[in-house]
Amino acid sequence: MLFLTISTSTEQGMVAIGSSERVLASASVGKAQAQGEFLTPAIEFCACQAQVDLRQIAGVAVDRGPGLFTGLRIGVATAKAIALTLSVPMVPLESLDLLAFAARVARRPIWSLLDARRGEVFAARYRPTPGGVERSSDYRLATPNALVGDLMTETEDVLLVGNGACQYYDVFSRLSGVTVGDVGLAHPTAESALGLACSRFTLEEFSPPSGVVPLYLRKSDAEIKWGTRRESIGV
Amino acid sequence: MSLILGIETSCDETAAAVVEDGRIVHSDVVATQYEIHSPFGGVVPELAARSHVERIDTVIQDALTAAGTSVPELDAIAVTVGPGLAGALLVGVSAAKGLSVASGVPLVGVNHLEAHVYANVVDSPDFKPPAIILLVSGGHTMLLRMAEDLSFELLGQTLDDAVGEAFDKVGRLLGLGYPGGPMIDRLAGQGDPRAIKYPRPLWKDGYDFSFSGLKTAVVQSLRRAQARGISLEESDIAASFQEAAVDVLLEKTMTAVRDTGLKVVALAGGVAANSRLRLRVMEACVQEDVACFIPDRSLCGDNGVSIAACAYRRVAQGDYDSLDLGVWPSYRLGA
Ligand SMILES: [Zn+2]
Repeated sequence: MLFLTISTSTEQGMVAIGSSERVLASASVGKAQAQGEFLTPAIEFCACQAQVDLRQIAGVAVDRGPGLFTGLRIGVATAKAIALTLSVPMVPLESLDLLAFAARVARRPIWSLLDARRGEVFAARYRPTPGGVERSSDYRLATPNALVGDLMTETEDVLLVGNGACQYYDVFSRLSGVTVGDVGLAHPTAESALGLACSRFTLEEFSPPSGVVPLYLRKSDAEIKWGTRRESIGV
Repeated sequence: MSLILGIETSCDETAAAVVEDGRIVHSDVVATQYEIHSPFGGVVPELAARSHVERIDTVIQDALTAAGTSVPELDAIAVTVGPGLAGALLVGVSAAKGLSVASGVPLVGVNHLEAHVYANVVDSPDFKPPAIILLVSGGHTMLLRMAEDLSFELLGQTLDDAVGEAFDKVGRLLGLGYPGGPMIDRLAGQGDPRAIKYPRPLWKDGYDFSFSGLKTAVVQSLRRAQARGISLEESDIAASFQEAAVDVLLEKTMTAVRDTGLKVVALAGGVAANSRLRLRVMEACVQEDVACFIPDRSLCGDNGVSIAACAYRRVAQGDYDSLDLGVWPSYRLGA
C-alpha cells in the first residue's frame, strides 16, 4: 500500500512516497521560507523518481503539527487538494507523534519537543508499545523550565527527541536520567511518516480532507491581546 | 471551450468558481470570514490564514460539484498570487498547486487587481480595452488606463487611505460595525448629501487621491456639533461623507476620460458595489457619451469568478505557470 506523505511543521520540510516497508523516493529542504515553493515540485520529483503515478496511492498522510504555522498551512492545504483530486482519504499525523514513533525502539518513556519560538516548546510524552508508541500526555505548549519540573517527577530514565530538545540541550542534559536525542531525531523523517501513516490507515484512522485542520496549540496574537483586554476590563 | 477553476484567498474571503471561456459561470462559491474578524474591527491576518486552510477544500469541492465537473476535466487552475496577505495567499496557491500536481492540469497565477477589472467581462462580453478603469476597494484606490488585454498604466492612486478604508473608518466612528462600507451606503440613502460640507481632497489636482483628511473632517464635524450641543443626523453624515468621496472619484475618472479621449469607463473592486458611485458614474458617462461598465454587485468583492475570467486571457495566450509558483503579497498593477 503506497502513501504520499508531507511534513512541513519544522524548518526541515519533507515529502516521501512509499510504504511501511520502504521509502521509494523522498526529498527535503532545510529552510522554512523555501517550503512554499519546494513542496509541489518535490512531490512531482518523488513521483517521477519512484515511477509512481499519484493515482496509485492509497492515501495522503500529512503532518498537521504542532509546528511552524505557515509551514503547517502549506502542507495541509497542498495535501487536502491532492486528496480531493485523487479521491483518496487523508491520514492526519501529529509532528510530536512522528518524532516519538521514530524513537519507538527506545525501551523508556519518550518526550517529543519541538521548538515553538518565543522561548517555548510544543511537547508531549509517549510510552513505547509493541511496534509503536502511545501518547500519555496532552499536547502542550510550555517553557523548557516548566518541562524540567515534569521531567524531575519521572521515575524511569527518559529520552528527549525533537529540535526543541536540541535547542534547549543545556537545560535538559543536566538532568539525571535524561538522555537528549541527537539531530537524527530532531525532525519528522520519511520512514517514520510512512510507517505511522500505514499503521493509522490500517486502523482506519483516516479522514476526508474537510476533517483535517492544523494543530496550532497557540492562539493568534490578536486573540491573545483581545483576551487580555477583555480580562482587564472585566468582561 | 475552456473550463477554468478560479481560486481566491488573498484577504478574508475563501472563494472558488468554475467559469467557461472567461464568462459563463458554472459555479461561484464564496465563504466569507466576516464573523471571524468582526470583533476585531478589521481583518486579522493570522485568523484569515487559519480560516482559509480549514475551508479551502470544501469551497473548491463545492465549486466543482455545483459545476458538475472534477479536477481532471478542467483546462486550467487559476489562483490569486497577490497582492494580499502573505499567509492567506499561501493557502490558495498551495491548494492550487496540489490540484495541479495531482491532475496534470496546468496552473495560472493571477494578479488580484487585474482580476477585479476582469469582473467586467463576465456580464458584458462587449467590454474591451482601451478603457479608463477606476479600481476601488478596502485596500486600493487606483485610476488606470487599460491599453489592451492585461496591459495597464497607473494614472493615479491614493496617497494615504484607500477609499474603502475611509468608508470602514467612518462606519466605525458612527458605530455601524465592520465592514462599514455597505452600512454607510444603506444609511446614506436616508440622508441629505448636502447637509454637511466635507472637503473634496485633491479636487482638480492631478490623478492621485487622498482620503485620510476626509475621515478627519468627519471626526471634526462630530466634535464641533457636540461642543455646540447640536446633534447631527447619522444618515446626513453618511450621505455627506459618501457624496464627497464619490465626487472626487468621479471627477478624476471623467478628467482622465477627457484627457485621454478614451470612450470606455469601467469600475472594479469592492467599493464599485456602492450604489451612489454606480449611479453617479453611469449618469456622467451617459452625459459625456462614454460607454460605462460596472460589474454585477456579486462580482465587485473578492470572488473566484473574476480570477478565472482573468486567467482565461492568459490561457488563450498559452501563458501558464510552473509548480514552483510563489506568492507575491505586494504585486503591483500598471507600475
Ligand atoms: Zn479585492
